[in-house]
Amino acid sequence: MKSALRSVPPLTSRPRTVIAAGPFVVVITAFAGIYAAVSGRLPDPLATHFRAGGQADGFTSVQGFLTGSLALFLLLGAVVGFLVQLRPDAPEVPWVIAGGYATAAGTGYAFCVTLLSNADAADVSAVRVPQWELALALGVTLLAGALGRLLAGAAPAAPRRPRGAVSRLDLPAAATAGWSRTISSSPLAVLGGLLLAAGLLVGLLADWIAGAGLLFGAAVSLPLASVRVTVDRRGLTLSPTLLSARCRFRRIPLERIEEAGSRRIACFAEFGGWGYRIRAGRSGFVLRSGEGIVVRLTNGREFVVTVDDAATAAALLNTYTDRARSRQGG
Amino acid sequence: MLFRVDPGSSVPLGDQIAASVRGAIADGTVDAGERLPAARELAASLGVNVHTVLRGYQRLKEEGLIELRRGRGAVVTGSASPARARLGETAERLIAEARHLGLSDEEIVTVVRTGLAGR
Repeated sequence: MKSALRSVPPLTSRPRTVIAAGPFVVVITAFAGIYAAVSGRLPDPLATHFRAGGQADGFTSVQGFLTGSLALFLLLGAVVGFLVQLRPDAPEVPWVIAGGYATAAGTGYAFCVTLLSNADAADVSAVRVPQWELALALGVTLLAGALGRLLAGAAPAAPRRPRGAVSRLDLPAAATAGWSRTISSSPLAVLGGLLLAAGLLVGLLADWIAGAGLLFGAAVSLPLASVRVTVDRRGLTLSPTLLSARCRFRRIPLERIEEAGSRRIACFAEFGGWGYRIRAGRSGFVLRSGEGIVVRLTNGREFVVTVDDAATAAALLNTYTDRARSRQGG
Repeated sequence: MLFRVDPGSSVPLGDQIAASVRGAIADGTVDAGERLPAARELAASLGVNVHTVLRGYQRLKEEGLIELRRGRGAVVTGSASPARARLGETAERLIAEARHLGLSDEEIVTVVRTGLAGR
């Protein structure tokens, strides 16, 4: 699967749009074909919604069902087409196309089965859809998704960004050094505080289950509002400032580091926002735009963290990576 | 900020840690209000004893450069200016030079007191 994906060259944006629209055209054609074949034998209204057991419990007029289905297919197709057109070279595009294939196949299959089950029915309330159709629909969805991912080809290569200045810290062989700094985001702290207050208020005044969601949001955002970044003989570590000695979010050991540098990072242009961000080929913890450490990992990925004095941290990381490598080599 | 320790140096490790912080305040890398890593964490980071780190932090506290608060750790004080940190560095150099000449602690204090008496 992986090698097949690699051998397909990246497509230009035009065939990509055609490939993305393909499943919706196929589904509309199939749906229209099935309708043409069974239209004379359909009851009106149709059984269009089914209980867990497979018995019909919702009914729609033939006219309404046809218009609704067609509108849904066109809408889904338009959304996928729009997403692909929006940024044709984004690394996420193949997955958007795969999602489009899966969605088209899943909904198309369900609607076609509905039509076929209604054909020749004397009594609509007796129309049944067998349970295994659900499993089959799931299978069709997954298969279509996989097909879409294959047809979409390899992800467009993410634009190579300069890794920034790479340097080393002058450190005598017997000496050890550690670099540590905190980064914080007041918007995130305010958001966390508001969520916590709202969660407690809702919990006390209304009910705790409703408050739990808000409290969960607070528990996720508050620790990220202030983070300690440490570079030392163990690698690069991110941990919440308040509990930095006891727990950590992320540690990249020296063995996984190829090289570190520092450069200016634009959080919106590169990561689309703040926080712990994952993009194709790269991930990072960004709380602001500006100076940051850029670590190239041995698996080819990149990890980024925005922090002041990043050049010193990167230089120390390189010195320790060299040390670890010479230890392994000798 | 960067902490450096060299076990091969004649300067005690705790003082080396204090010197790192003093240097960072002196060259403006660290500003007032910056929180230093917890002693336990820094000790693990550098591979030294926690008490060594605490000795270094204690010195900085006596120099008025940091505040040690229970639960909040070590925070660089508002009065810790680069100039103030450089003064600490100058004192360190004075002591090192005097020791090199073989002066006792009492004699070093006398040198300073004599200098002050002249004003």
